[in-house]
Order: sequence, then structure tokens, then C-alpha cells
Amino acid sequence: MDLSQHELLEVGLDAVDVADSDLPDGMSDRILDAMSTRTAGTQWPSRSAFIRTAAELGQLLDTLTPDEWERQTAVAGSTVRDLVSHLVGVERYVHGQLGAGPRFDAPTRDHHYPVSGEAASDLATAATTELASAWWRELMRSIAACTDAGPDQPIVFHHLSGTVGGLLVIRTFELWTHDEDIRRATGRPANALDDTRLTLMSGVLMQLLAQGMALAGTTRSGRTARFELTGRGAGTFDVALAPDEVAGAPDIVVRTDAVELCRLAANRVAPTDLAVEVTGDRSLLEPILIGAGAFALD
Amino acid sequence: MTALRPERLASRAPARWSPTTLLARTPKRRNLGIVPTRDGPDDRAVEDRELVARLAAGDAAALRVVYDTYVGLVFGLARRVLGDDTMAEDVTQEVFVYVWQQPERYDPTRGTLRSWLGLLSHRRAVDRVRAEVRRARGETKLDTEPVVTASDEVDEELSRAWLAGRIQAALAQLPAEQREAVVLAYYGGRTYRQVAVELAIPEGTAKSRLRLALAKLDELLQPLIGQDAPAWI
Repeated sequence: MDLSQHELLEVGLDAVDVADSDLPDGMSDRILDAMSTRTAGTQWPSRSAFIRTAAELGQLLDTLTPDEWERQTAVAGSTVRDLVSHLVGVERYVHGQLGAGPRFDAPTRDHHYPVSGEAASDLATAATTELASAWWRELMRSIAACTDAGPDQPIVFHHLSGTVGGLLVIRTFELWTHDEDIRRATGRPANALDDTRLTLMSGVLMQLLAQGMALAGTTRSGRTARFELTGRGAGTFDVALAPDEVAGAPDIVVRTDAVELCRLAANRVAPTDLAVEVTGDRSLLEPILIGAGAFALD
Repeated sequence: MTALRPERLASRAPARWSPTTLLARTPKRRNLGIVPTRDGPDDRAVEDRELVARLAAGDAAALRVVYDTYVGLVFGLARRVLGDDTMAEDVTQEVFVYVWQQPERYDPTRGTLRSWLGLLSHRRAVDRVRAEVRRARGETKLDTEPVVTASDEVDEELSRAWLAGRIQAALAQLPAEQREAVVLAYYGGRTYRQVAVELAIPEGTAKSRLRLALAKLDELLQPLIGQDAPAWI
């Protein structure tokens, strides 16, 4: 029974690890004082959600076998490897949009996948561990660049314009969606997001629904929908069905699972496949669900 | 163009960080000197990535978690190499400043955050030993070596392999019954209860053997990991 290099390191590190009581008096104060020259921003919910989702995706990549890296995913024509190369490219695109790297001309939704072509080409022959490392490095740069910009910094992401804080919600959707793509492709169970992230994601989806309907050309002026979201991320929302309008009395009540609605928003559940309970004006359901899916990028 | 609505955040004013504004001390996640880490590997890997990404976001609370969790390891390893508390404290500070300023240098595909910090501490401590030797010989050195160099990734792999080899050599010097307990405990991350079952000994005996073994390894490692480190470390 031979210990692996990793296990040997663990033994050695445990042997030399000392208890707090063995640390020199006042050492921690001295060290932490010396590090206090850097300022730190307050927490942003969307950045925390993005980081957590990225960490889970990174861990998932660590567990993939060589065969699994070559599996086809739900994204047409893309293997797991292609998806990760794509994510490298998206991070580089974000750096450019934040002024932290070369800019890419990608103003429409249709540019989302092609924008990563250069990264895919760069990494075409990279080992999978190298690819996973490259993605993580680019992601860390994105986090640092977003932090430097701040949550209120305006940013354009293809056809969407908004703030860095809002972008990180969209990007949390994106990472989670691809995490699920990879899990499905490799026969792993779905990623059960925690309540905090789902509440953030479903809440933002509700805020943006009218804009999504405008993007999709399905607005219904003067009409209101009530959403009763169930499961993790549950909540009740009254939403006006056209931008810049105020919600009134609901014309339709839609009761559905928050996670499934998020999957629909990510284009991984078709409107016809979403399990919903509807009361009121059923004719509003289709335009609503089409609008909810309008932010999906691939 | 769609206008994404800004998030509603209570406060976004940057806060100057100082130790007193940080969260309360975080419980250690080290291996308690008795048994291997009990966190599931998946949870730990996600946590490592999340912590480092939070460092990249300038999250001082994450720094505090990393510091509290690993200060004993970083300091303990430096002290084993240097045999001096003051120099070990300097190394400890350098390591955490480096991690705070350049968290992106951690590559989670290459190992745990814990082992990365251990390697940083070891390499920096060895640098100190060499600097002291040069000083004693009356040699001068024009610049201060960075914690890492351009060939960092290769160096890290070599350092990891070399250190693992030293630990293996120390393990070989343990009494057979202690070595058996340690190998079993760390092979696949067994608990001391599982070790007791597999060795058909009482749990208290298993715990005692592991504790004694780690204490002995602590002694054995001092000369093994400090004095004869190869040039790449």
C-alpha cells in the first residue's frame, strides 16, 4: 500500500502544522496589520453567486475522465472540451469589454459562440488539464476586472447593455447552464443550486422579463402576470408585461418551479415542456415564456 | 438594446480593511494532527476555488478564512526548515501577502490550496536558509528572490515531488506499527476508526499511534526538508 504524492504531502503537512497556541504571541496581528494596505469592496450578491458557480464548474472539470471531455453536449456540435474552450473565449471577451484585454467586435447575440473561436483555436491541442487551467486563469482575471470596475460600471455584453453587477447574474446563468450541460453529457446528477443563488437568479429573471418580451417582440402592454415560483428560489412576483410599465392586478397567474423556469431562461427547457399551473388569461402564457427565454445565449 | 437593471445593493462603498473589521477567527480546517482531512474531496475542491476567487475579488473575509485555516501549517513548515520563530514569522507574512496579492497564481488543477501554501512556505523558507548561509560566508546578493519565478509551474512540480520524497523517507524511519497506522490513515483518507478496524486494534490505540507518528515525523522532517533542498527549490 503506497501513498500517492498527494497523500504523502498531506502526511507531511499534518505533521508540521502547529496549533494556534504554538504561534508566536501577537504574530497574527502583526501579519494582518501589515496586509491592511489594500482596500476591499463590500460583498456583491451577483459576484458571490458567480464565484460559487465557477468554483463548482471547476471542480466538475477536475473530475472528468479523458473520455468524458470528448462527449457531445446539448449545445449543437459541441463536446465538453469545446464548451470549456468557449468559456475561455467568453472570459477573454469580457476582459475586452472591461478594458482589461483586447476588444472583440461581437455586438449581437449571434456573436456569442463565434467570439470564442480564437480561444478554441489557441487551445485546440491543449491537454484537458491545461484547458481547465486556462479557463480558471481567465476567469480569475474576469473576477479581478469586474471587481476593479465595480458593480455599477456600465458594460455591453453582445446585444445586452447594463451593469457589471447585472452581467454577473447573466454569467452565473451561463456557467450553471454549461455545468448542467456537462453533467448531462457525462451522466452526472444535476447541480442543485442553493437557495441564495436561485433566489437571485429567479428574482433578476422576473425583473428582466418585460425587457425579454421586448427583445422577443412579445410584449403585452397594460397586462400583468403573477408568478408563483416554487421550490428552491421560491417567491411571488407581479410583473408588468411591457417595459417601463407598472404591474397592476394580475391577468394571469403562473405557478411553476423556479429551477425549471431558470432552465427555460437558459434555453434548456422548451416553453412547451415547462410544467406550469395557469389560471386567468392563458393566451398570455406563450408570449411570457418566449420572453423569459430571450436572454439565452446558446 | 436592452437595459439590464442595476442590482440593488445596500452599500457599495469600499471599506478600508483592517484586522478589526474582519470576521471572527475561522476554525482550522487542518487535519488536527490525528487524522486526514475529513472534508469530502469535492467540497474541499469547491471551497478552495471559491476562496481563491474571493481573494481575487479583494474579499478580506476570504483572506481571513485562508489565514486562520492555514497559518499553523505555513508557520509550522517554515519553522521546521528554519528552526527560528522570527524568521518563520517573516516567511509566514510573505506567503500570505503573496497569496493576497496574487491569488491567481494558485492553479487548482495541480493540487489543494493547502498543499500550494505548504510549498510556498517551504520554498520561501529554503530561500531564507540559503540567504543565511551566504551571509555567514560573507557573500552578497544583489536582489531579493521572488517567492516564485517564471518557471514556477515546473518548479512547483519538482518541489512537490521532492518534498513528497522527503516525507516518504521520514515515514520509513517510523516504528513499523506507527508507519502502518499512518499509511492506512492517509491511504484513501481513512478515519482513525477505520484504521482501528482494519488493524484490529482499539480506536484509542489507533489514535495514539497516529498522534505519536505525526509527532515523530515532525521531528524527522526538520533536517530532511531544510538542509539539503535542491537548487530548484
